[in-house]
Amino acid sequence: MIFNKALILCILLLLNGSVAASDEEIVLAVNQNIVESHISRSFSRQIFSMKARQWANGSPVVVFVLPDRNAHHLIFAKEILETFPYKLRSAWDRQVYSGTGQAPREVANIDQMMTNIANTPGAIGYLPRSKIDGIKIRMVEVH
Amino acid sequence: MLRIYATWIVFLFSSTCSTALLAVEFNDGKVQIHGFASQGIVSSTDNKFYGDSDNSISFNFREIGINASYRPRPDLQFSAQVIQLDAGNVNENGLLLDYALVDYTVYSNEATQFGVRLGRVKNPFGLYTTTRDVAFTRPSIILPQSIYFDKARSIALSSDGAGIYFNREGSLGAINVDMVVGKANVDRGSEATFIRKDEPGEMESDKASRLMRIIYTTPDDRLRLAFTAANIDLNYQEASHEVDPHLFVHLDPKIISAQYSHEKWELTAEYSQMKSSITRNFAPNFSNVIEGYYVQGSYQLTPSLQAVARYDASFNNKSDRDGKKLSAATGLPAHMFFAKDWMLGLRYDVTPTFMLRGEWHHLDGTGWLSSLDNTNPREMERKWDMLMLMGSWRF
Repeated sequence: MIFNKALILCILLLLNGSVAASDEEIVLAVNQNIVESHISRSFSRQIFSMKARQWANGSPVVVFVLPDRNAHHLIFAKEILETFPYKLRSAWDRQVYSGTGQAPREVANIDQMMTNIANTPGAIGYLPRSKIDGIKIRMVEVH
Repeated sequence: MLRIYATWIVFLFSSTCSTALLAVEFNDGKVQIHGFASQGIVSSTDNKFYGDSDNSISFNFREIGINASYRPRPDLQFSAQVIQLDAGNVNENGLLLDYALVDYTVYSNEATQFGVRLGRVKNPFGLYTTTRDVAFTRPSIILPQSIYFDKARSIALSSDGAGIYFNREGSLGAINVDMVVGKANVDRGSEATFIRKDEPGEMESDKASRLMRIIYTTPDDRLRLAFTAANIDLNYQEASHEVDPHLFVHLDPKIISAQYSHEKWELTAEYSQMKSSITRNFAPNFSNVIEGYYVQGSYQLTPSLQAVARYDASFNNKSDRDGKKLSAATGLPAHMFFAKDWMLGLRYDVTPTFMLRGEWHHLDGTGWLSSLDNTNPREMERKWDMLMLMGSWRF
């Protein structure tokens, strides 16, 4: 009985988290100094797996992500990169603990994501479409 | 004992106050510091693994590491990691330099990166070797011993030399090629694996090791296929008048790996063959093919609870799977030349940076147990069970 209640609670919590997030479309967001308006899916995967480290003009890529279990992160991983959060995490871990790469910079929430993208040249992350101001933060389409 | 308490204090501290995975960063993230600390508990019937675990409980299973990386430019990274291990009687004492390297990306564009690494580099060997001491990157408390033998972990661990890498991702999928050439670092456990005990002399790299791994990933990022091939040459330099001065070992492991990943579950299998040739002065030369494989499945029961199951088999001689010929030749029990391991485990992620694991092994054979832990072969039992628990923290 207690187990059933706990299960229902878990399901409710899960549903609550995902419903709140899936109302909004998640898009790739970059600092205004990035000129690209489209990037390929493979380049976006290379960027978020921390293998591609520079933009076409040679400037450094700075990657921001939300925590692994954040509902927006889940949507970003599945819909934009077409992978799963745990696959991204293991790709980062393989590099971080073998000296061959670095981890993306993790931010706690959407507000921090906006602040960091707006203020960091070369920054890329992801945001609900409504948060893109087109001035300090631009949107990049994946195709 | 003090160190055990210290590890647990770190665990308690970390599990109560950390919710996000935040590394230590300086200089706008150009400098990153990461680390990990794991404490395992082992209890087994009859045979010893990671210390005196037989019909008792061993706490001699600890992995602590810290690393730093500095990326001053997008195409340049300096990084190093030191680790401290306790693995019963098998490990080297003190701090070990796990890697220390400079990574330079010679060429990169949207789809391709090509670069070189110099220094002490981790060997590309199967799916798990490069981060084998980091519990969070393993599928279970111990790696499948058929391919990632803990008793001789150093043989394929790292090289002092150079590596090159090539990544390319396109509409047909991604290719990742890694090659490493360098001097192998050989530890006591590996020496004891070939000589059967820790002699006063030293086992060391004879010729530079050569390793190569190719990984192909399908465009949907679901299937990874890998092929590893290596050539490793070691020799034993005697200190006085031991068993066999001038002993040479040549190993040529080949591994094929496959991993299919779904949102909730993952299937992994690897198969390896390694020809082991030992050349000796005062005993006949010896050569055989070591074979190992495993099949493993994991399932995410809830976002924080994962179950894993595996069957792992290893044979010291592919054409003598029950060990009878090797037993007749050496006088040692036949069960020392194979091991078949059924494993069931659970992983509970308490927070993103702290996890607990438990797993049960049911074994037939003692092939991957070290003679440093089990000094008397006659005291080993062919059929045995092992329960392991682990807490692991990382940042």
